[in-house]
Amino acid sequence: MSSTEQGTSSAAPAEPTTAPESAAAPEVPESFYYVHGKDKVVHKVSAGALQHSALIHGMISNLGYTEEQAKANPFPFENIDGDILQMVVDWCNQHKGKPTPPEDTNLPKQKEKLFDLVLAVNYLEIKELLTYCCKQVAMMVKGKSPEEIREIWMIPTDAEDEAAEKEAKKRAGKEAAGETAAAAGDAK
Amino acid sequence: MKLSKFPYLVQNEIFENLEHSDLFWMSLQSQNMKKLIKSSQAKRFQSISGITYAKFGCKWYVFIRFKAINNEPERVEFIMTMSEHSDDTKNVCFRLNVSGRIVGFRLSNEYPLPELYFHPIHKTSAFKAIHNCLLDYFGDTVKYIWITKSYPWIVKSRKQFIPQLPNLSVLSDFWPGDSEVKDNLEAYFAASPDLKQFCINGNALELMSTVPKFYQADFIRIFRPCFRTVDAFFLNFQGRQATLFDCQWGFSRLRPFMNRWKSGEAFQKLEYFKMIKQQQPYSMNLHRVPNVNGMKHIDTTKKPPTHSVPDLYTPGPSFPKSNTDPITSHTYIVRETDNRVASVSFQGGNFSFGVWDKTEEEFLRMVKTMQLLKFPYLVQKEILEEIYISDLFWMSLLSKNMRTLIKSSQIMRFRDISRLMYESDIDDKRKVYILFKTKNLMGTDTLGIEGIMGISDHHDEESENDYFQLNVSGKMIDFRLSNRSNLPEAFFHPSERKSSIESIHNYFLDFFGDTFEYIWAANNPEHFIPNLPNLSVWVTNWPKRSEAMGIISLGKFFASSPVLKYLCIKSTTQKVLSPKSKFYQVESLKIVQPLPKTVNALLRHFQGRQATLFFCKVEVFPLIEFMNRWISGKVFQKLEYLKLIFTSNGIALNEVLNVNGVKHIDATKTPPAHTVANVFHTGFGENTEPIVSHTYVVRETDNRVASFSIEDGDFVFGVWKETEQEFLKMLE
Repeated sequence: MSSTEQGTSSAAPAEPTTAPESAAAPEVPESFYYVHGKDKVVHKVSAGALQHSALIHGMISNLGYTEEQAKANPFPFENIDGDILQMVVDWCNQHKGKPTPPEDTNLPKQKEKLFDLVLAVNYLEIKELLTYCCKQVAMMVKGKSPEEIREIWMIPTDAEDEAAEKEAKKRAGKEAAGETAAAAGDAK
Repeated sequence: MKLSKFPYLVQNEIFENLEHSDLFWMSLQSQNMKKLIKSSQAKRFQSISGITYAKFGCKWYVFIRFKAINNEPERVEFIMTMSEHSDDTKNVCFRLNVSGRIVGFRLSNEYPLPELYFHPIHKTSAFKAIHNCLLDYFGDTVKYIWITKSYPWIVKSRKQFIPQLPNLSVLSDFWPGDSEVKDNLEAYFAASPDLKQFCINGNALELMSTVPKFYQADFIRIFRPCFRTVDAFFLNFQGRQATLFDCQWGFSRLRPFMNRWKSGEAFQKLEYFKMIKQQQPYSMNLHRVPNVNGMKHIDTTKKPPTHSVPDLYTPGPSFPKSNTDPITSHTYIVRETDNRVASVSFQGGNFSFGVWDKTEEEFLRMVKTMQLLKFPYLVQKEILEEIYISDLFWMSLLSKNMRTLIKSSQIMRFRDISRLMYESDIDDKRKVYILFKTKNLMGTDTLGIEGIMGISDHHDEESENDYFQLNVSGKMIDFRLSNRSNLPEAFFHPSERKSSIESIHNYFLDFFGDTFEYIWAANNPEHFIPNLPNLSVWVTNWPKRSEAMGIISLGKFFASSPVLKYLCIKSTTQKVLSPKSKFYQVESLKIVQPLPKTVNALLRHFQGRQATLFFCKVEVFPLIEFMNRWISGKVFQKLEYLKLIFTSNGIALNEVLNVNGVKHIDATKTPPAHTVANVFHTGFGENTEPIVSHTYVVRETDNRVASFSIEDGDFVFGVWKETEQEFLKMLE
């Protein structure tokens, strides 16, 4: 459904290749929008697929872009890695206009990808995908011992929390002192 | 039944139902059969990781190894055995053409497997024939491995036979003291084929330290290497994994080793290296990683990723595949040629070096991965909602911040908990579980049960290593993950029982709150019963235990016990407890076979809500007195339900009906049924047995009604919360 192209955001992406064909041709031609992540690779996605994302749906609902305008103005999501955005786009395409299954087996299994995917999905407000991801994250600690849970989710110990808090306070103190000194310098 | 006449798909289906070993034997029938099996079973062959030859006793066994799935132990399937005999025609059952050579087979008496039988002088050619046949059948994408072990107590006088065959790797395991091996090492290496794995005593290497083939093995284990061996190892090793055990020397070589790895000039294939120091007082002891230029450090507040790769050491097919020892270190170096990272650790004087298949950028991304506390709060909440409460309990013990997060995000979920139960002990163990309101599949309200943890009074010595300590309300308690229930289990010495349970209970109160009931269930008043805030106690001594409780035991128990929620005992004592005893304050009481004195005492002094006395005898007068005292409103204010089940004593209880104030409902009307929620219930809404009676009395102080009946030899008395007026409105 989506296509990608390396380069600037203005690069024209190719037509989607994996779109599920509906039995009956739609009366109104489907509109497409364009998104890109940190890697600037542009993905062409149908408005129907983007309905999964409350954030993007809200952005495009009253936009009334023509195809050319949409192509010239892709939505930039600079805080999302390219491979993660690709996963999100793929998921939206796979579940376009379909009831979502109770379990999704297509989610990434690597911990680092899942972490970034959760953040991206939360940012894009894709409720169902977020629920699947959260389930998967939760499953990671099922039946594990505390130390394994600590390892999996990198939960700091009380001592580490205290050290981090102390460090943050120290840093805040230094910043405040720096600001005071700068203000005093300005006054002089 | 001609197999070749079947359509291809049918043949395929038939083959699918056969074991690999059967298919292999069928493939020897003809070239066409082999072709058919290979083409139809190509997909099935993809699950095979290798073919192994291993010698056990005086036979060689050939078996298929399958790719491990989901970290499960490796599965193997034996194809055939091979053995030598000076009379290679003896017992031969059939002969087959194997790669152009006619060889004899017999049926093994140990295994239902064909056994290739050959004369010792034909050993090499027999193996060559069978290996070529296997290569042709399984292809060259699977690994062919020859396992050879040289234990001095087994093969002192035997030379190790290792054939020179194409695509064959050797896993060798030579143990210290094998002088034959030691003497012939150079010749062995010169003649040996592709060497994959090698274990050896380092002293044996002293004289052959420059044999290059040894250092090309994928995997090496050297025990007690001498100085020259360590030197030679660092100079020449080209394999993937190595462990040097009991090292006395060589730690000064670590800096040049890391520098050479960093520059990319050597150790390009290295994945894992470990040097374990010799446990001797004079052995060299380093306390930190030798510093090399470019050594980098991960911020100590962050968690470094753990390095571990599949261990190439393969003791045998029955052993599960394992990984190398995990290396979790804040220190790492980066190879200049390809930017790949190696974690470096020096712990307990042992040096570990793990090479990642990741660049520094990818490696550093892993440092920050999956930190739960980095997710936005709503995501954390959603994740935590998917987790069982027992796992949340575990997690809450990890840190104060974690506990705060769980408590704040799961507050609504915890409100659905209706009870936390410390279940009765069985063999010094008890389980803690919660009951909570939930919905069933139909969407209707129901009650769920979820185990939280186990509590035990003793350590299981067999799994001593599985224990770890956690801080529970300021007390360090040993825990482990139960194999049976998959729940956390706390363990403590009986002398620590009181303080440990107090800590656990206080922790529950802090974690879950005090809005629901906490119940401690005991099988006997003489068992341990803690006296803790917000903890109700159930004691059930019947029908599980039939022995009657003595008055002294009961007196002692109630002198020190909290007020019980529920007590069920058998009591045949002649004496009665003092009216001040907390025995009379038990909320729900069940007594089996009480003697008249006990019944009379209860009818005078009971202050609880519900009581049932089984198989008792009573005079009429105490019963009349009970009725009169209840009507006066001076006592039994909390009473909801009383039932006396009599043994036949021939006493006319109907006199009770003549008590002043007894009222009767018109016989043509149906009286309402009295029932109240049982104080003692399993959580599934059990009520007392309904009382449908035309007789009732009214309390003078608040005009409330009690229905009572004397039927079938039982006396039942149920107090309504309705006044007489309200009660009469309920009549049909």
